[in-house]
Amino acid sequence: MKKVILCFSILFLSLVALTGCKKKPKLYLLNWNEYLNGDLVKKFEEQFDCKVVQLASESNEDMYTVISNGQYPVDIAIPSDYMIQKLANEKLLNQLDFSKMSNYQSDMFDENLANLRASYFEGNESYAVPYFWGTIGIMYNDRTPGLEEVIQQNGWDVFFDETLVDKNQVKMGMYNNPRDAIAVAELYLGYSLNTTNSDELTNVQNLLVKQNQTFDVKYAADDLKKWVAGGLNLDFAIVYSGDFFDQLYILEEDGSDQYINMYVPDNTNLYFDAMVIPTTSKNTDLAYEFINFMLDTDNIVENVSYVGYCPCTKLAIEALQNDEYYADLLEKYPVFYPGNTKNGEVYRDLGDDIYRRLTEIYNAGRNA
Amino acid sequence: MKRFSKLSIPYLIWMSLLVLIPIAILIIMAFQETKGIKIFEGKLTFNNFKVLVDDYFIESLWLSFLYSGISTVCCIFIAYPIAYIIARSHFNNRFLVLCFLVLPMWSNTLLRTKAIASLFMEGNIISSMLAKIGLELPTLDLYGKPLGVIIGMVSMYLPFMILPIYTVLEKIDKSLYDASDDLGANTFKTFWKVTFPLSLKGIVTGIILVFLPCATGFGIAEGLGESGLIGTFIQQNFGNNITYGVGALVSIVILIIITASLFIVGKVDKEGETLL
Repeated sequence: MKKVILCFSILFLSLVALTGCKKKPKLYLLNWNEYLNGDLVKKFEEQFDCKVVQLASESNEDMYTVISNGQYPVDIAIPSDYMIQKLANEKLLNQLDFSKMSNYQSDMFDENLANLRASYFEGNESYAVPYFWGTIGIMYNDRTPGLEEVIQQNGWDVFFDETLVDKNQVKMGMYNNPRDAIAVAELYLGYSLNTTNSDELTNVQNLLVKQNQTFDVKYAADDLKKWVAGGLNLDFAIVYSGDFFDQLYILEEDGSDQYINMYVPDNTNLYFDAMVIPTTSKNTDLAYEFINFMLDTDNIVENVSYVGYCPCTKLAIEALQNDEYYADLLEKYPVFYPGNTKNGEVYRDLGDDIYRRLTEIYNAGRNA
Repeated sequence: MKRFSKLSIPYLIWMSLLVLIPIAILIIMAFQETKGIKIFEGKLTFNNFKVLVDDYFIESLWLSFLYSGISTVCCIFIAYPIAYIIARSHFNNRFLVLCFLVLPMWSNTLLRTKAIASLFMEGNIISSMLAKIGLELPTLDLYGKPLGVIIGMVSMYLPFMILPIYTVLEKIDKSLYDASDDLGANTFKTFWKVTFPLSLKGIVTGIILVFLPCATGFGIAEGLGESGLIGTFIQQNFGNNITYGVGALVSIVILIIITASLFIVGKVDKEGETLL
């Protein structure tokens, strides 16, 4: 009997101890890896006496499954444009109440971004608050002499045209996710990034197969930027603008003299990641506080120093222009500001059948 | 004995929670076309079964078995001599030697895969060290090449082949060797007629331990730049495609193949000496 009492009292005490931990409210944040400055998280936790639980995601589709399965009470997610469209279509997002965010003004965002959003699916502004935006482009180094000029003159053609580059010499990198790999081929062929035309998709497939058979192509994710910056294993690769600057900061910190640069052709993919409150949210008020917190100009600038993408608000961009380091950076690398893109197209939600077809095309190309 | 049978209750609960229920969910999902895990909402459908005649699926399944078959054979040929030498040696501390062989297994698989991948690229740690002393050797460009994947699989799973073979070799009664010697057999004949037949069980166990994870694994091949295998196929269905039903069905099919092969092994090995 004594043992039973002892067991129960231990159980009871541990329960008390556990509930003691739970007192602080929790904010479940579904985010990409290395996409939020850790100092800001601490600051937010202190300011609002809460705990931020970060759930890391590797793709938009990951985020979709986490939200739609309801595994976690996700309060804030930061998916990209086309996934916001999909989530909104399936009624998995809350309409935002902008009166709850004192830092929010409808005209606070960069003009080019605002135009982009206005041309996007109807009502997207009411679900999401932009976090960062960027483009895709060609990151390259100086391993092969003369390549820089070829890339700047020919853009996406360097991935496919063997008259431009020596196929025995250059090594190129492609993203190992279907949508971005296929985008390179679509941009080269002059198709829309959202094409669902089956003839066009067949052409894309043939092109990717031929590319892999002709050239030394490496498919990877985060490794691409490292390999280009390593200066040995890749000459050029398709990368997100944020990835390029991430790598540039690292090289600067290391004091490396490896030359890297990025070229964004006129026609490219533009994207914005935005904060949304999924219907799974339980701590909605705290979620609003978080969005509000992330709209504060000082916080945005602090976040930029860590992330490498371009901020979305006019004030933050202005603050960067007034900063010596970033003014220099903006001048030297105009690709930092996605608004410079002349002909950017945003991905749209294409429906599940097309995604299956895209994976098929990608597999055929990658395993050719 | 009965008193101890109660001790198995936690194990049974554990098994049903973490093995039986998930498999049941997989089976239900295989007959549905839901996005995500919604086992009570979906409708019954056989559409997922189309994947079983899909060329790409068959090709990647075949390729997986080919890769892991080659890797397993390589493992046997590398592991057997090692296990044999250690088992027959007169080291005082054979256990220590074994530990060194198994040591890499204790570090993270992903880390080891990344390390091997970087060895297959230019500017890797070995070539840069050699370059410092003036030796410029061409780098093995094996990233994404079949040979690279097989080297990766072999190095990853070699300990799983060495250990069972070593265990059976160690157990062989030493007097059998003396008897064979007395009866006039030379070393080679002793090995072929005595040692090898007695160690077959260890080889079979090793094959099971190496072949199955090689065939169904995802991380090693993907980390070494090969994405045409069945593991990646399943991952894509749970990832980019969000077709959980298809992914679940393919997993079930592989599960059936594995169970069937273990069943066959069990039939052949009636004495149950395989270290399963």
